[in-house]
Amino acid sequence: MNCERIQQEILLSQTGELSELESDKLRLHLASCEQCRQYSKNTGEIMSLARASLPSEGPGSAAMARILAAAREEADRKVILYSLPSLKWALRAAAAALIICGAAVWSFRLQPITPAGQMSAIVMAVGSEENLNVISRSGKTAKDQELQALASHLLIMEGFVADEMQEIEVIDVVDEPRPTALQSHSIDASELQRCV
Amino acid sequence: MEASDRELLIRYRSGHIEALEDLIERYRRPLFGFIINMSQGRDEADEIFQEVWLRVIRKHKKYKHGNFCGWLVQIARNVIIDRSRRRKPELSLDEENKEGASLGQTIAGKEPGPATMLASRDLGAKMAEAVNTLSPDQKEVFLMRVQAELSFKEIAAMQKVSINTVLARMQYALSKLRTMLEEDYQELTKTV
Repeated sequence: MNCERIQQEILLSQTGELSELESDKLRLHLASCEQCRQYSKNTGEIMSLARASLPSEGPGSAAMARILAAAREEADRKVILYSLPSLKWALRAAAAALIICGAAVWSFRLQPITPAGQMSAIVMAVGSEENLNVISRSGKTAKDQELQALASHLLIMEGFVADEMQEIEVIDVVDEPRPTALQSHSIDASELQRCV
Repeated sequence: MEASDRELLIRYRSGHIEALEDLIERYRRPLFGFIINMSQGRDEADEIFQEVWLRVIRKHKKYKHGNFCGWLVQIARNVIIDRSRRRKPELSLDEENKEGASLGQTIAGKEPGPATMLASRDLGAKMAEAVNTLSPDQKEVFLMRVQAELSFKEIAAMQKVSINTVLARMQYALSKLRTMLEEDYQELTKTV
């Protein structure tokens, strides 16, 4: 048996760092090896002696007072920082603003923007519900054609291409005198009524 | 039932200074015992002890789990190393001379350190003198084990060596102390 290895195991057993199996093996060895038993006894005595006799009393009261003063100062500093009402409200407002902005950006991005959708939005914005009737494309009249021409004109103004006209629903409006020209992009209800 | 280290720390974090006092008192002896036997005098030991706890106050959130005393000793070790570097930046304890001995080993056997003079009993003086003759690594292992009661695994982690190396250092330390105290050994063991 390697006694140097056993000596190391004796040291480990004093700190509880041996497994149960290793502890059992060590106990068996010590039962039959006087030299290792003596080593175990001597190391224990030297360490107990050192623990009892080496200086360890301290520190001085001044050091203790300084430590506790520093602890109180640190605690006070944290209380001041976290109790600032303006700071708290500023943080809350900033968080709320971020949430709102984030939600707005998110919802804007989710909405599908199609030419038909935009056109419908333009027409709905200028017409009232009682004046607008949706009819099928199979029953196109001269008025329908004029309406379609108006719609395509509006789309061209908004930068849409002609192919996207197919998706647009023809919207019937109340008979009104036809205007000569559209003055600007912004369309109000009375102007739209004059187009047909 | 006594509060655990973790419970005391949580109480301290929530503003109870007395919890920190309890922690300081709980580890006063093992921590100061390690520091005073590793340092150059009581004044320096007081300063190091104070610095350790100031670092705990500033960085207590860094402690998550594990042996709290081990964490304190690690901080103390770092403070001691910082101070020794500031004292002698041009010297390295590990640099070897022509005979292959490092400076740390060469100076270890010189005159007894202040710890010797601090011990009021003759017994303590002899033991302190003997401990002071150990090499820095052996002395550190011995004091971490005896004063701070750290495990060899913890000591190995702090010294960044294998556990076998730490055990070997402890064996050499015990062997040397036994030899130095041989004449008084019987008398010393009887008085304990």
